[in-house]
Amino acid sequence: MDKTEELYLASEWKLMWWRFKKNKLAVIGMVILGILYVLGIFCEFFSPYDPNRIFARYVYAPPQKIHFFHEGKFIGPFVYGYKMERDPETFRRIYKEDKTKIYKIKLFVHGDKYKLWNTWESDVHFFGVEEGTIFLFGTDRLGRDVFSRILYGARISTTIGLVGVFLSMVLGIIIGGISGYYGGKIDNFIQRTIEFLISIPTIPLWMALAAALPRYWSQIKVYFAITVILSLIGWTGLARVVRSKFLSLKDEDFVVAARLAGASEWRIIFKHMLPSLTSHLIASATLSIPGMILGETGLSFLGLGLRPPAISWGVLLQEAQNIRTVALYPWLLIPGLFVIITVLCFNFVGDGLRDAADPYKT
Amino acid sequence: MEKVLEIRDLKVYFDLTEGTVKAVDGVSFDIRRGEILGLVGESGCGKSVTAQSILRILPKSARIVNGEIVFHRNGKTLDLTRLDPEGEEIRDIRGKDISMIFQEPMASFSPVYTVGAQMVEAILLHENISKEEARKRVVEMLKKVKIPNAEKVVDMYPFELSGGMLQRCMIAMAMSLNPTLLLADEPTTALDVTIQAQILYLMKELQKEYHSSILLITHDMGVVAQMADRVAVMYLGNIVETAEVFELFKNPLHPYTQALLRSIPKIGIRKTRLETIKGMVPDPYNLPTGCRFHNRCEKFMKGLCDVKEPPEVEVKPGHKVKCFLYGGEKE
Amino acid sequence: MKLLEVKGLKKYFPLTKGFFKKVVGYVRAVDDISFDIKQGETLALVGESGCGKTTTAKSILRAIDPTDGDVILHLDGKDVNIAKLSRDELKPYRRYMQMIFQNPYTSLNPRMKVKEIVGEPLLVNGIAKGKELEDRVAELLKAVGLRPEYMIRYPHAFSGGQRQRIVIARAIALRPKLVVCDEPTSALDVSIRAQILNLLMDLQEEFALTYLFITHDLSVVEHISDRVAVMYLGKIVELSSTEEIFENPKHPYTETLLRSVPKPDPDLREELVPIEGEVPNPANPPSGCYFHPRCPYAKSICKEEYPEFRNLGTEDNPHYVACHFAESLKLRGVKITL
Repeated sequence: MDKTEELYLASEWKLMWWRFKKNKLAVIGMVILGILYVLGIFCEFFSPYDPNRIFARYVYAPPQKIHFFHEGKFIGPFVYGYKMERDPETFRRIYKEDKTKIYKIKLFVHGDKYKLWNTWESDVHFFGVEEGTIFLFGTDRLGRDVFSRILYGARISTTIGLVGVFLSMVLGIIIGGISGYYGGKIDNFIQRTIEFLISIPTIPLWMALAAALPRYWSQIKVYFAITVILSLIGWTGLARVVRSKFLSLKDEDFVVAARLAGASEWRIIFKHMLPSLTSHLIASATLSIPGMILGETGLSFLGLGLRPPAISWGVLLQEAQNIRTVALYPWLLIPGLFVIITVLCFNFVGDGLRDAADPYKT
Repeated sequence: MEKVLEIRDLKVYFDLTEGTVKAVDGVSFDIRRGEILGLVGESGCGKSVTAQSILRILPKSARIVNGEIVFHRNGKTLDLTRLDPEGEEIRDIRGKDISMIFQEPMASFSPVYTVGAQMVEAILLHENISKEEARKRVVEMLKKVKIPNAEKVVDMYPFELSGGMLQRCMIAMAMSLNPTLLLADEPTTALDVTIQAQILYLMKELQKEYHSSILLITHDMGVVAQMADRVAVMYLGNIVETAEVFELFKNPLHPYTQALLRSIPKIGIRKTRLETIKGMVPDPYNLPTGCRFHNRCEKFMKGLCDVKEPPEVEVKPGHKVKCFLYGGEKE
Repeated sequence: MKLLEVKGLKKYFPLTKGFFKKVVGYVRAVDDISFDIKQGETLALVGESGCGKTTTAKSILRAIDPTDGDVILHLDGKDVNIAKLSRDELKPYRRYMQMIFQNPYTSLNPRMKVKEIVGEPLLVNGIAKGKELEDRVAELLKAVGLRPEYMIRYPHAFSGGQRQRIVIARAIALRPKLVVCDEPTSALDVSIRAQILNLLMDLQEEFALTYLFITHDLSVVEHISDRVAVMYLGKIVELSSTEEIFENPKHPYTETLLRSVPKPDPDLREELVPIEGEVPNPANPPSGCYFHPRCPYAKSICKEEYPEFRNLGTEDNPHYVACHFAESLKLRGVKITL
């Protein structure tokens, strides 16, 4: 099939994908997000250690660098062990690289036992060292591997955005759809309600709602409660977009043609109007996920969202709340870097989707 | 007759991801002082691109590959293709020596400034006079284009005015500095028929008064017949026929011109079936070899028309055609 | 044999102001118009923007609901008042009236394949599905001059003229009796217009269609229609056969329209003396005869009284006009040569 024929037979999704591919930044963003999600989903497998395992000897240990050359010779990836010293003035522990201890990094090593998704038992980790330690991002105040904790945190932080956005989308489409489809008084009422809702300051509202959550609730319950709270505000933006699209689509020629042909209103909504929205909805949803992630991170950082022993990037950042920590143990801020990267990537992808979603551009 | 603009072998190509579109591919014509030259053709033939090339307002994806656009000003000549499209020289010419009006009047005015403010700006860009002076001139121009309540309209916003009124304002703005050449790109296509008649009449009056030349771009043969002194017919980036207007309509030579004239429903002539031009306009990325019209031409000569591009032949003084039917095979 | 009778059709759009949307006035888009269309004929509805022709078409088809009036469809012995049916009662009658739209780029759902678009009327009316649907769609595409293989493509693969053919195929899928053509060629290139107009005329013969043809282009009107209704600001000002309207117009607005169209013949370069003024705002029409502010023949009565819409022709060949001076005015028409 030659190129033009392919073009003629291409559905809207294919066309959108081709346009999306041209946007290098969006594609890179998508790849990075893909990697993050895989790491999060299989965090038990990809992290070298159990995130709660305490290494009492290596409290606040700095990150171990990966080396390839030892004294000029190439011996494959490895890390040096720690040499502990005491600072003569402050009596604090100082960690230095001990060049006599070489721990080679191997793939598929046996390590801490875990249950993948609480079902499959295994102890094989993607990478690790057979002896010694490998703390790629150092350890925290209890000597726990930050890298492993970040991966476990990824699971919660990245998915909380998805669940929240999904809830928002459902609410937004239904309410916005009703508003736009019926117009008139219903529309007027809904729009004014939305305006009232969005004029409430979000952060205080979140904080109030989060603080109202009973302390004794399990982390799972809290997790879902947080997503509900976040989506309670998020739906308004989508509702307005859906509403304006419905209003304009109602009188679009091809919709009128379908009506004249005798199509039922349900068919018109689902076959003609909603599909016109989907591409924009996806772009819109993708762009709202960062808000959710930042929301959860913020709430947990303030102690109002998830709390230890739950692990999310916000919870991890709680450990980095004071100047002393930031100054002496800056690697505890790395979860923040992950938040930034995730949010940026979602923005790139969302922008790319939005630009690609125009069916009238050939 | 004295020439105002000479276009010689102009080629403008667009570089798009899907390929290169040869929008204008070897176009030559002149515009004489005080005449209305009609540039007629269907969508995609390159007529708008030609006009945009004159004032160097082409989009970034376009480039002038070849040719000269020689503008005669104060006894001197100036090749517009050599000028920097963002430079001072061309900006000096725009609005003053050569001005342009467009198809959609609502889209040609900024919605956030009053009509008067925009017209005053146009004048102040070229003349060193006070704002009050400029405003007075604007009101005069509005009166000249028969806008009722000109003093009130000056302070109105574009959305408050109808399409016909805005088009008059655009004409007033374009003529306010007495340009030598006015480029009019489908100025009446978006207007109702009675308003179109008003605007065309107005343009003719102003043209007589200011003795300016007009390059009138349109797809409407009726407009051309009413307004133009000479006509150039374009098809897919080439000018296929040029003639004085009465000559063109009485004696069209190029098969495309003939087919075009035959396919238009005309008032006063009732037929049972309209004649059509067979086939479709070809894909711009995949132009036919040789004469671009050959695959739709009734008088197609195999072995000749699909192999070589016909050169321009002057069949009668002032009447040129690009067609092997009239010679040129030997070249 | 009348197919459609329109009586006293009105469509007013309310103008609202303020937070609680209080009604402060009406835009009389269609203001009490009446006409008939005979089986198999083409009636052209002519006028400039804002005259109400598209609103009339949409009201007749019940794409929008008329404010008042009757729209009676004569179907094999049964008379149905389309205007007064509820939405549910209307459903079985939708198939008898279809529409061809002006803009071929917005009248096809870009996310559906041609097969689905043209087949939709058949599908939702339970007439065909599956393989039978495909065969029917293939027939329809052939009838409009497109290759049936193209049914697997999406609209973006086609040019304006081809898209319009797809729109036409969809419109005739249900074998309607009445087809409303809303400026079907205005958005197309000049050389394509002829093709589409020829196609419409062929289909009319082949499928015994009746057309309500809406346009502002008088040259097309003359070519394709049997009778013409001229509209101005929501009212019909003149209604007669095509020959009468062109050769013997009786309303000053009709004369103006005929004279304003630029003719593709430089010898006819008569001094275009266009009429002054713009089409008035339909929310605030002039008193008396709506055309009086721009009419070169207006007298004082024209400002006071709206003229009666009366027949100045014969019973068999009626010529309706709404003008106080229709009998005495000697207006210039255009001679039609065959």
